[in-house]
Amino acid sequence: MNSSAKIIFATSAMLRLLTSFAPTTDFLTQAFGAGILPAIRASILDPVHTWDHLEEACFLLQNKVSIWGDDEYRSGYRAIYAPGSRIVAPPLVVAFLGELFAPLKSSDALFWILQRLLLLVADIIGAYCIYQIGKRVYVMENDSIEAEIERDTKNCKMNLNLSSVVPEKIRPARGWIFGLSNQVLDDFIADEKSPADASGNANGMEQQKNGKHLTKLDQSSSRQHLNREPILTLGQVPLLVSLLYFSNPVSMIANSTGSLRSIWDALALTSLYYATKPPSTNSKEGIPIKVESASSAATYLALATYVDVGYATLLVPILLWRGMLRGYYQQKSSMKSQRGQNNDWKSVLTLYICYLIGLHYLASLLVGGDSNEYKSVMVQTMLPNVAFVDQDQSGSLPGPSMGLHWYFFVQMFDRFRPYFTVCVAGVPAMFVIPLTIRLHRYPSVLTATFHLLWAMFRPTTTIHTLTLGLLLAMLNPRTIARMRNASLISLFAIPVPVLLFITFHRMWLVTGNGNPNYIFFQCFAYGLFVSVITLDFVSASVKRDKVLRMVEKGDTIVKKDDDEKVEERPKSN
Amino acid sequence: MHSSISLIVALLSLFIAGAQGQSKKRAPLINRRHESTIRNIIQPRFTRDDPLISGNHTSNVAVIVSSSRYWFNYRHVTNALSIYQLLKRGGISDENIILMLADDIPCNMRNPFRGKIFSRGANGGMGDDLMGGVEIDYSGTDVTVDAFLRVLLGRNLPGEGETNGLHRRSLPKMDENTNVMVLLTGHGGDNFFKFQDGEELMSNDVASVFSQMYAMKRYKEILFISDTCQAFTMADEIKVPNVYSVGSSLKDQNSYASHSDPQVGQSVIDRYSKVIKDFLDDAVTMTSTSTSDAMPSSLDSATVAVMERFNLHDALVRIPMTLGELGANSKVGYTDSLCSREMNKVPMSDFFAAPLEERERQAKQRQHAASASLWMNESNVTSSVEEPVIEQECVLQEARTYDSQAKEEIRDGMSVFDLNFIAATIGLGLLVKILSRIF
Repeated sequence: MNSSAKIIFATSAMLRLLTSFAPTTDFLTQAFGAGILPAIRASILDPVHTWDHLEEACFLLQNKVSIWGDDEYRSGYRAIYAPGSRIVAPPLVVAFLGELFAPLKSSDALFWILQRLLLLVADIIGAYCIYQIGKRVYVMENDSIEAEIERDTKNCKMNLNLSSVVPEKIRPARGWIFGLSNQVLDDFIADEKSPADASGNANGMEQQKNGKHLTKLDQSSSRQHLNREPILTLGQVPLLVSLLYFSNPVSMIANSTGSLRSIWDALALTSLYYATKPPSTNSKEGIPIKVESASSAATYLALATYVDVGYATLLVPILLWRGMLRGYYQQKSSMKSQRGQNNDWKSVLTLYICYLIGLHYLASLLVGGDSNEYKSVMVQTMLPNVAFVDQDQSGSLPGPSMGLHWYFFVQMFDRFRPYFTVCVAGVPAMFVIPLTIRLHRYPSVLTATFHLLWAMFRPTTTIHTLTLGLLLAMLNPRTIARMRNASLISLFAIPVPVLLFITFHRMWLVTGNGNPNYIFFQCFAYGLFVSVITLDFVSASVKRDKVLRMVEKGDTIVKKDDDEKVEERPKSN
Repeated sequence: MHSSISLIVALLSLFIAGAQGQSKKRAPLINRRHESTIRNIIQPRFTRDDPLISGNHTSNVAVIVSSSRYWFNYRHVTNALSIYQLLKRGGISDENIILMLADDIPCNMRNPFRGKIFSRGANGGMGDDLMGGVEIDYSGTDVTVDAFLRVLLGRNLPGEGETNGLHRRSLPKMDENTNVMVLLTGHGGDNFFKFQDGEELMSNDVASVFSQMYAMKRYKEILFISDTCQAFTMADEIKVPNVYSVGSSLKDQNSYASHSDPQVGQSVIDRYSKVIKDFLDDAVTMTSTSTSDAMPSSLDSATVAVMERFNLHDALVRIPMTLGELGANSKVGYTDSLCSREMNKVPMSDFFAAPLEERERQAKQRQHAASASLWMNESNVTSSVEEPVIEQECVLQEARTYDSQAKEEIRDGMSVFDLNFIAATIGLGLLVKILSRIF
């Protein structure tokens, strides 16, 4: 790690410590006025994944609840999940993060410190996992044929089989950022004279004699020297993403305002960490040591899924990393890469299901009663994470967030609700299989895509969930290099609707100057920007895969704009 | 010759005088078209094979809601008070009626007759004032969906329903022998009913509360009347038994105002509520021996007698449709599909009148009160009538402590500190550990 990275790391660590243990909430209220904190929380937090929600559950746990006003009281965990309680925290979360720490609640300061420490540790674990995941993805991609083609393209060695060179027209426009081969602008090409042309007509005649393809190759090789210096190398990306994960302001504010999302993200990232672990490592003496990681990957994913069903989408990329569909993926350097990858996806899947069942069994012990009792608890705790449902007939719905669901569903008559709940909640699920089929070679891309989709379509959208999606997307620099300007503009535009959301939220609910329509438009803009980024990310990944397939097959005929087919592929001698 | 003529004239005079006397005794009918229908029902030419039989309920309660605000919704208050007065005349006491009026129309600054509400016309302030003896339980912004649902379910806020008297804001204990009448009047639409200007009561909410009442055994039968636009859609989702639903209009239809009064300056009542009240009043007029034009606002045996002869279907569906002039595009909807009795077998008194025992008790109270007033004139005071014991709903009081030993607990499940749970957790952990070594 060079000195600048160390400085950045140290600064971010200090900033993080400061914000973790500073009374941010009081500061925000004093700085921006009353009502700003609920507005910020509405944009960042999912209300059912907060310490406050846990405390509410613990209160019901400690006090009896009577539903009908008669002599029947519910106590224990049955009280927490009594009809109308609207508690979404699962029983084990209440048990281990609530009831277990109940003796410590006598001291508010100690409990507060413990909460902050827990979130800080979770973020540290998450940052470490992201770093390791990024590194392994980098190594896996570096060993792949894609990287081999890139190296050939960059070096452009004439005496090699030229079928492994990516034609210029289909190279990423921003590949130079990461040191990849990139597409040079046409204007720049027009102004430049290649060395071959400068040598006069004789050479020009020779070019015509040999065919213009060679000339183009000469031109492209000369252009290689004009490539810009990369801003980042591929190997630096994991560290950067890890730093961003640890010290981004969104996570800091979310943790200081009571979010539990960092803990669940840490669990999910830990499962990805184990999923990407190679099957063996080398000891100091160079002897390969087998490393078992299937059960660990399954365990952490089961824990994350138990808490929030949305994390179940990560199962697909995890299985891909563990060898699912590997038979369809042929690699030239297959021996080396396949030795470095696991092939136990069935074990992971089986263990995941078993652990999930085990966790639910433990939870059912807490709740007690018969299976119907726990079924209703499961519905109450799982459904609100994936679908916009009201918990009871009181008409109370989750409050405004950055998503569009709350506005949409509040304005809807009840008889339309089941239809739209199924439609809206089912949309992200519809994309899983097609995307998996198309991009099965790129599990890291699928991880980011599914997370971005889930961040957009989950009932309570927050920028905290979006942050992880964007960071996971950054672990795919080869895709990032192919993304267009629209994504960049959208990324920098996202803070605008977020800030306006906070402002209008306060105007609506505190000062009374606004109404929910103002917030709705910001949510609309926010959703638009996120969807632009997601779509462009997927599109760039598809392009990346298409280019790879084209080069692999040797079929790199590229249509010109004037519909004249120009064969870019050079003829071999 | 002269003597016979004089005898004939004398007889005619006597006859005319007698006829006039009788006509003076009976007030004119509000709607003469009601007369034949009333006669057919009250005095049928043929005896009924299946006479109406009262249900075996032991108590009656009613919840009447007028949810509209603002002066131009005068008529909704009249609708509610019209039905309220019918209930009072049927002997249902204020303790058993929850009246919710969302706006204080009687005392509105625009009301030229402050404190009065007229259903048929102000008549210079001398019209039939419906505000006599009215006890409003929820008024103004207290009229909310939440309050409505809580009243039906018996979930009172701390402090409500603790003491007898005015404004109890809660109903007496309801059980499986209680007949419940629910009236909603105001503005509504397809599957919703507007509360004030910011809330809606959905048909799902209505169905849900009735379902809960059914589960809690809080009713024997429910009569759910809705007098709004698209009123009958409010009954779309009701799936529990013994709920009679009546709506003054069907889906995509409106309920219309009846007439406006030039002195009040507003439409004073809606057509549906008007026809029910007018028809019943005319029936009482035709059958009652009372000479008074004004309808009583307390237990009236004539009204009860009429109610016992009318069935619900006639009173709430057939007669409004045929005689009510509801409008070409306004039809009454009703359903009794999940009820043990058809609506045309249910006497109106099952919902609009108190049970016989309750009426007799009120009658006795009135006799005591009458005798007390007589004695008081002679400076002798009799003993006061005992207050009826009314069972109160269970109220969650803040001061009440939940003693786990005193009440029987139903505690299933475990705590995180239970040995069984700890053992299960450790077992799962060990299993994961072992499998981690293998896989």
